[in-house]
Amino acid sequence: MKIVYSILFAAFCLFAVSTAPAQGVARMAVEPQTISIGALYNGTTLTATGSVPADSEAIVRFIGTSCDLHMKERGKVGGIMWMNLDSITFKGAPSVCLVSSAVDLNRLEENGGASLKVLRLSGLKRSVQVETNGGLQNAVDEFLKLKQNEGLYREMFGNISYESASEAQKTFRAEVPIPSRLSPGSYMVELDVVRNGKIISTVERPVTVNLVGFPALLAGLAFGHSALYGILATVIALLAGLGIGLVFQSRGSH
Amino acid sequence: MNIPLHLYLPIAGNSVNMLLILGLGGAVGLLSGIFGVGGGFLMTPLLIMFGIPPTVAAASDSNQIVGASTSGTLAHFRLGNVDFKMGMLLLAGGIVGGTAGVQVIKVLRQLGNADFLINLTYVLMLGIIGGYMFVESLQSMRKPAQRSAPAPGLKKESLYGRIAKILPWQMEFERSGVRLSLLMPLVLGTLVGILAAIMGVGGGFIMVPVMVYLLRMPMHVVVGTSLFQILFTCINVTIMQAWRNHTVDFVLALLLLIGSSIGAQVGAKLGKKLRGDQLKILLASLVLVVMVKMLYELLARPEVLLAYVGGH
Repeated sequence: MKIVYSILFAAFCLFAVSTAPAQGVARMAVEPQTISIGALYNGTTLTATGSVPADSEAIVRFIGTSCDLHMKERGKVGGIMWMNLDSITFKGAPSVCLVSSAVDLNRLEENGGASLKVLRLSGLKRSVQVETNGGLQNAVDEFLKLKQNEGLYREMFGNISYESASEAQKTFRAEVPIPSRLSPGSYMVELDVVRNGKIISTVERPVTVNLVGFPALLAGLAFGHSALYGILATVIALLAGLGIGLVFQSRGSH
Repeated sequence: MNIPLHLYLPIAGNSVNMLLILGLGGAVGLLSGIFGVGGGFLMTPLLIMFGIPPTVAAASDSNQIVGASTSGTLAHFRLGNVDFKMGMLLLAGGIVGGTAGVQVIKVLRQLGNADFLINLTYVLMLGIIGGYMFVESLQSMRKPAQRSAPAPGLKKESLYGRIAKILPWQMEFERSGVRLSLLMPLVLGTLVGILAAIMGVGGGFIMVPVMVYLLRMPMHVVVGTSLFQILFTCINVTIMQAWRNHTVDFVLALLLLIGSSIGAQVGAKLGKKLRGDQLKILLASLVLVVMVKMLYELLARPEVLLAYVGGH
């Protein structure tokens, strides 16, 4: 029995030694760590900087929290008309998924990096679960297409640059364009270090998105005091309409 | 050219180009002022096209119609084009019909295929109304002499006209220059209310032809009275949508409203310069264009075979 324990302990030590350098080889800092959505927000650029081993590639992903999305399948009725038919729910799909790399991910994948699929948008096919009573074929493919059309799922290459190399390390700088269609909440920036088609290290940094100023005030009113918000919206619209009407009336009378 | 004036919409969760939304509001407001329609059937699809979620687009549009129809009603009131008595009766019927329509749609949704029926109702209503108005206006424009000098007593009264005359509670509508039973605007208002609730629109584009052809009101009074009625319908929708569904984006509505209120004023003045049959044929063309667009959407394969819950 002692021999078995000794072998297991030795195997554990070997595993720990082999992975320890990989955990320590990558580092990343993210700027800004908080994205503030004010009245004039129209998307922003998130910068991730750090270092990875010189013989590896950095892949940076900006990922939103997963949620359930309830949608409708579109199908033909009577063989002629396209209609919204059965309900369909996508579970475990991130609200945003932006994948950045220095080189074309297709090329990386072709060069023996089949395991990289998990980092790509197509990798979501494994993690996103579908609940439906309908018969939509390739539902996740359609879902990915929809999200890509909205600019919330995207694969980009060329927006990571390597700046210098020293002591077998190279520094990187990723410029990630964050879309304007962004909801407040918690997001994650994930650095995946890839060597010989395998992920050897992962570093994560949280990013918070929140509303500030007028949008925060308005959202607070709309969700916290919705009846008052509705009445106010109506009264202001009425007054604005009356005001514009009176301006035109006075102009017309002169 | 890239215009840098963007504004973030906290309820829609997206930013928009302010000038684009102002322009959109102005264009739809112009049509609203000319024809007396709320413009929801045009504005909502355009907003969805610019990345606004369908439910937010429809509810915020109702909010802006409150402002635009206030401005439009005021402009038409000044021109003596609002029949308040008729408007109040249609509104009363519309409220009853709207409430009944919401129940009808609930039953349809339980039976399934509600969206199919909604879309089919849309295309049929738009096609019938637009087609009839177009043909009728074309005929009246081609025969101006006959229309302007009808031989008195020779024109045979239709069955509808005779029924309208024998109904009880006849009353005078001075502003419209017609004498009708109290029941007619009430019943017709109810029917339009049911259809509007099923289709999820204010109902202006159905109400206008009903006033012209069934209540036989003059076109200019129709426009002002329709705007007056739409104002109250949209006040109700805005408050309910904000309270129950949190889908009213006031910033979006305000931008649209500034554009559309100005557009509605210009439209009201422009409409006054056009003859009744010209107004009718223009509205008919607009309704037919929307019908063709909807029919195409029904027949052509969509790019993505998924849709968000809430949009038609």
